[in-house]
Order: sequence, then structure tokens, then C-alpha cells
Amino acid sequence: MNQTTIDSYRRIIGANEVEEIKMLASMLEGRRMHNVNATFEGGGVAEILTRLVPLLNSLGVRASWDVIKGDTDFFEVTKAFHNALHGADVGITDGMFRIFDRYTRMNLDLFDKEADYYIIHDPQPVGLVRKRHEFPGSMWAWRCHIDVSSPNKKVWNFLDDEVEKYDASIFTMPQFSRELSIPQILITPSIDPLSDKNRELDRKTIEKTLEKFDLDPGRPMISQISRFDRLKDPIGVIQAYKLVRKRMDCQLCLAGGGASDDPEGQAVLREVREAADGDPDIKILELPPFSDLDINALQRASAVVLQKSLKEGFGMTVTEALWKGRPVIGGAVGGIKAQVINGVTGYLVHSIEGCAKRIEDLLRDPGRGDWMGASGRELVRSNYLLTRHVKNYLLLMIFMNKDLFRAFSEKFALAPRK
Amino acid sequence: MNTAQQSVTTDPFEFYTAVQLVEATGDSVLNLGEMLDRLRSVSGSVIYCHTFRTMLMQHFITEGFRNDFAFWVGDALGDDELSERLSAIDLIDYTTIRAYREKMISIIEEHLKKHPRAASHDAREHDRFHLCSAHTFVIPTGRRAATLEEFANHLARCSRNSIFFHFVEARLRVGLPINDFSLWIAQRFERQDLADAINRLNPYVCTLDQLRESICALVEQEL
Repeated sequence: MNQTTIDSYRRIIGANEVEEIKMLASMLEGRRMHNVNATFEGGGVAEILTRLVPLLNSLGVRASWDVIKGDTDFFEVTKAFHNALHGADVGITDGMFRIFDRYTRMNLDLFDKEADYYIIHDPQPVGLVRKRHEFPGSMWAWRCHIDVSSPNKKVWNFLDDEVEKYDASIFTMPQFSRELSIPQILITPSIDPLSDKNRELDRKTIEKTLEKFDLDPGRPMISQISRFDRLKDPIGVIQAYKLVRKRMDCQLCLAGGGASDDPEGQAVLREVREAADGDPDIKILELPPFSDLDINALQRASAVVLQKSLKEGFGMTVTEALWKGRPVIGGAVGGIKAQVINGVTGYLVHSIEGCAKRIEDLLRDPGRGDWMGASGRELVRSNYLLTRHVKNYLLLMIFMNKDLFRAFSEKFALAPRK
Repeated sequence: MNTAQQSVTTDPFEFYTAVQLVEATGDSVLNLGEMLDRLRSVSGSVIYCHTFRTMLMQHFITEGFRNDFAFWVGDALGDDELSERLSAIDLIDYTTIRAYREKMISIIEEHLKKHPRAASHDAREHDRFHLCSAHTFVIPTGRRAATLEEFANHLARCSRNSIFFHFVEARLRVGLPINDFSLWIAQRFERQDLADAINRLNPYVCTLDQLRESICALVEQEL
């Protein structure tokens, strides 16, 4: 099997970008960076580490990754903490803190990995920082992948005692962060352009997917590929489609996964089917896990991709669609606003009617859609690919190492701009 | 030596590149009054982050670019008049963050004189403006040019970050209305005409790739 290296991305990001990343990495050659999270499989954190760690190694950074141990009772507590940190109304008991602490102490006993940098992901392993005195000179960063802007105070205060022991924290967006005494570095998520979900597909593969789902390759398709969740407003998408359909021929594809083991997802799916009211031009697809190639093909086949969310984190589905050169019409919320530059990479909308109007605009003028798609692809190429993520981690390592950071500043002092 | 006035022009010309790591300051504002207060007090790297760095992130846009301040005023406060005025400030006119900051402050102050109630008109809570700052890392690329031919060759191959650093950021660093390329060409080859022609290119109305092509074309005419 071919190992993916930074050179594998040369034709996508350009030789000069690859050289820039190599230059940064050369200053960190041989440094050890150890990542710890809660699971090797499932979830966005594992997905990103699966790709990031080998790439860092190919650049000469000795990156490693391990997970903490825990039984069902621990992960029930961390699930409750996760929801509470998101602001959900969850009952938090003192017993939960005791269970969390017991497993933290157990994992501390097991933890003996020597490294120069420790990147600890999310709340589950946060307490490992208590061990930092055993690794003199090591640097510790807490990478928070979740939105802790309005957390349950009891849970946050418990975690905060640990977080403040780190040298730095990392958040996805400034609005997800907290006021802390340590630096809060911002690192946005990324997509891998070489993954099945995002790699180039030939026309034949795309057509086969359309055929599989009984979609007509000869008619314009609008799609929203997102979890069946009320906050993604799938009903609003159907209403917008119906407004457009009165005046124009088109088909709608609503595809999402994860509803089978989620009671709320099932309820939303039922509501979506009711709203579709048997319209043969609305295809509602419940995609199983590992449907990355199908998702890729559906996004590429769309004339317009929607992400009409009412609330959103970063909005990775927007990133994916933009990378495929598709214009995106998105709800003006969360990270969608950073990616959909109104009138440039797509349109930001605030209502069903506004959404319908913009769909119509793009269906009537496919050239404009293609132009916006090309702009969107450039936005992603420059800002939201895995290679940028790698670069951010390398910069973080320099930033956290006072000697390296000083060497940089002194080598070419750019005084704070006046 | 005052580093704020430091130029990177050496002989031979050494190409540098600059990359940024962004940090949340933990501070945020909800209305124009608070924004004005912060614009007066935040560090220059905050102003840089929300204007110049945003421009670099959107380097492919040739029209309709709005810096973060202008975008927020329009999007979160619904104040299109002020948004227009803030986005119309021509960055090319400024060689210091201080002067640019003062211009923004004067525009907002003037606006608040006409619309005093706008100072306390709050955005929705989830539309707060979160202030961030940028840490810049400057790295030598190893590319050196002793002749115009070598210069054109390297320019065609260097990163967009490198072009941004030498052409756009240079003004803030040097404190003069000139970029590193023009400065070197004028000093090394005494070719003021070519230096001026390059310096007249406006990076705010073209993409960085177009800027690169234009500079290469001007230099190649001389070879």
C-alpha cells in the first residue's frame, strides 16, 4: 500500500506550498508529539488523527497517538459531560465526577509515554496533564473539538481546573472558546482531498451512483447531505424546493446517515417523508456508514448544494461541497458564514423564500454557479485542506516552544505592528 | 534598528514567506460602542488579523472584499451604510496599522455622531464579534536572486504567502508606500522606472496569482 506523504498533495496545493510545509517541519525534525483521545474509531477526532499522524511522521515529526482506557460507566459519564458542555440540560451528579476522577487516576498510572509535546483531545483525557511534572520540559496543549461557549457551569468548572494546567488550548472557532489564562489557539477543521469522500471521481462513477438512487442525470439536482436533525432544517429545504418547483424543473436529494440508532433522527426522518408527500422528484436517502463514495458522487452531481442549518458548528459538509466546485446556499449561522462568502462562493440565506430565490438564481444561470464553485474550491484549497491543518500543528509546536519561537522572532524580528 | 522599519531587501534578494497562527483574545463585542472602544485599545495584531489576514484567506476575490469589521457591521448589526464605508477604506493607502486603525475609528465616530443610538444597538448574542490576533512566523525560503532573470524565475514559483509578505505586508513593515520587490530593483539595478511600474500594481483589485503574473510580465519585458 502506498504511504501518503506530503508530496502526495503536491499537484493539489502546489509545489511551493509543499516546500513551505517541509521548511517548517525541518525545524521540528525528530521532535516527539504524542496525541491522546478517547477512541481510535468513530467520530471526527479519530478521523482527523488517522490522517494527521502519518502525515506528520512523513515530515520527520515523531508523532504518535494513543487512547485512554475506560469502561461503560466512564463513557456514560463523558457522554453526559459532552452534552452538558454543549449546554444541554443534563443531570450531573457528584457521583459522575467521582467516576471521572477514578478513571483519570487509573489512566495516569498507565501513562508513561515520553514526548516533547502532548496534545490531549477533548474532555475525556484532560486529567493526564497532572503527569506533566514527570516529563520535564514537555509542552502540553488541550485540543477542544466541541463548542464550550455556553457550558453547564458545574462541569466546566471541574474541567477548568485541569485545563489551566496546560501551556495552551486549541479551539475550532473563537465563538466556541472560553476566557482562559492560557493562550487559545484557533485551528479550523479540514478535509482530506485524497479521501474517498473528497477525491476526484470520473463521470461514470457519478452516473452509477445517480442510477443506484434513481436520480435523473439529465435534470438539475439540488441536494442537502447532512444528518436528519431539526437544526439542519430539512423541512425548510423541502419547502424551498417546492417553491422553486412551481417555476422550474429540478429534483431534490436529501441524504443523511446516523438516523437508525438515533430516536430523534428517526422522528425527523418521518417528518421529512411526510413533508415530501410522495413527490417522486424528492429522494430521501438514509445512507449507511461507509457511504463516502456515494456522498462524494451526490455532491459532485448537484447543481446547487444546500446547508440550510438553523444552528451549525463549522459545517464540514459545506467545505466538502465547495471543494467539489459546487456553489453552496447556506443558513447564515456558525462556520457557514466563514465559508459561504455571499455572492462569491454561494449565498447566505435567512428564510425559506430567500433560499428558494437563490436556488432559482443558480439554476437559471449555471455559469454563475460554476464560477462560484471555482471560487469555493480556491477558498478550501487555501484554508481548509488537511495540509493547512498540518501546517497549523507545526506552527503550534514552534509557538509553544519558547526557544524556537524566540529564535524565529529574533531571526527576523517583525515587531508588533504599530 | 527599529524593526518596524526593517526591510527584507538584501543583495541578492532573499525570498521569505510568512505564515500565521491565530489566537482568540477571549474578548468580544456586541455593539458599535464596544467595537469603537476596542479599536482604540487592541494590539495592532488584532487589527491586522481581521483585515490583512482575512484578505490573504480570500486572496482569490477581486471585488466585493469586506474585512471582518465591515462584514460584522453589515451582517450582525445590519448597518449597511457603515459597512460600506469601512469596506471602502483602501488598504493600499496605509503604511501603518496605526493610520489604518485611526481611519476606521474616525469613520465610526462620524457615523455615531449622525446615529448616536447605533452605539448601543446590540447584535444577537450568537453574533458577537470575537477579537483574534495573529502570530506571524517569517521563514527564509532559500530562494535567492542576484539578477532580474533569477528574480522572475523565483517569483513564478514562490508561494502566495511569499508574494503577500513581500508586496502587501511590506508596506506595514517598511512604513513606506513601497514593496520589497520595487525597493530591491530600485536599489540594486537603479531601475526606478521598473520599480515604480511594479509598485503601481494594486494588490486589492486582483488576485495574488494575477499580481504574480503582472510582476513577472513587467520584469520579463526588461530581460
